[in-house]
Amino acid sequence: MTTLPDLSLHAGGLELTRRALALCGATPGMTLLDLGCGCASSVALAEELGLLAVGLDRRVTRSPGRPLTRPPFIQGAAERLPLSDGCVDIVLAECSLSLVADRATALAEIRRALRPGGALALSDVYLRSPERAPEVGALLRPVRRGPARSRAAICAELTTAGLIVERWEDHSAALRGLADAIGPRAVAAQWEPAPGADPFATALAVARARPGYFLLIARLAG
Amino acid sequence: MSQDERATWVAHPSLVCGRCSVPLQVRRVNVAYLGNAFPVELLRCPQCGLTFVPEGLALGKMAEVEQALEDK
Repeated sequence: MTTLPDLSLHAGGLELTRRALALCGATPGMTLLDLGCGCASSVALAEELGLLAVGLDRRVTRSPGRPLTRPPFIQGAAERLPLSDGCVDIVLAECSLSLVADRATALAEIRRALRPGGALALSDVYLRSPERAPEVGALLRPVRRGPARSRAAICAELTTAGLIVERWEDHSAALRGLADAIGPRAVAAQWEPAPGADPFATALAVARARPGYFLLIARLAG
Repeated sequence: MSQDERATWVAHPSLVCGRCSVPLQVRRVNVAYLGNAFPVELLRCPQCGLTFVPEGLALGKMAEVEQALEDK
């Protein structure tokens, strides 16, 4: 068990991260990129498990008690990964890909950076009632419609990017404690209404669409 | 909150905080329930942060959202 403090900002915390890495078949010596790493708690866990890990995020987040350069961190964008082709065994994206403005480009970059046979461990918010997803998407700010997707839409995006979905798990129960753990502001930011949209109508549409949380493992054919 | 409701509240400076005696202002508030949270606009005291939730809103739209989140 890790003795690291769980400073993660995603549902399920480091326990879910550990499960994701196990499902990817992570072994010591493998290389890992944590996309949208925040304070890099998952990077620290990956290092503890013997992986060569680096975090990437648009923002620099200081972690209490840790120097700014530890764990290894790159400030950058998911749509333009500063990595060479096929250099990464595992890409971890925990509650981050849905917040990327251009997900198609980010997935193409993930595909480029993965070695053949490499894995993407993706966990994020989704809507469990797919028939209501379009209604929710129409009420959200255009650049923040990422969370308003169904399971089928998410899997289709990965398939289009050339990744093979191996496993899908629902972890919606992990959402229950999320607002308490990371604060309601961070959770509410996922459901930002579009200009002119009624905030309560947006909240009701989201609630009726049954927001949930998933863990998905996909691979690049090797 | 519709634009009409918002205009009504802004136009009623008589809504003041009982603790601070400061007029309430429309502010973004993040309302959380069962792990979910949503940004809405409510009247809030700019001094102590006390948020006013009208009874009609609590029993109406907010209750609808709670009900939808409780349904499996």
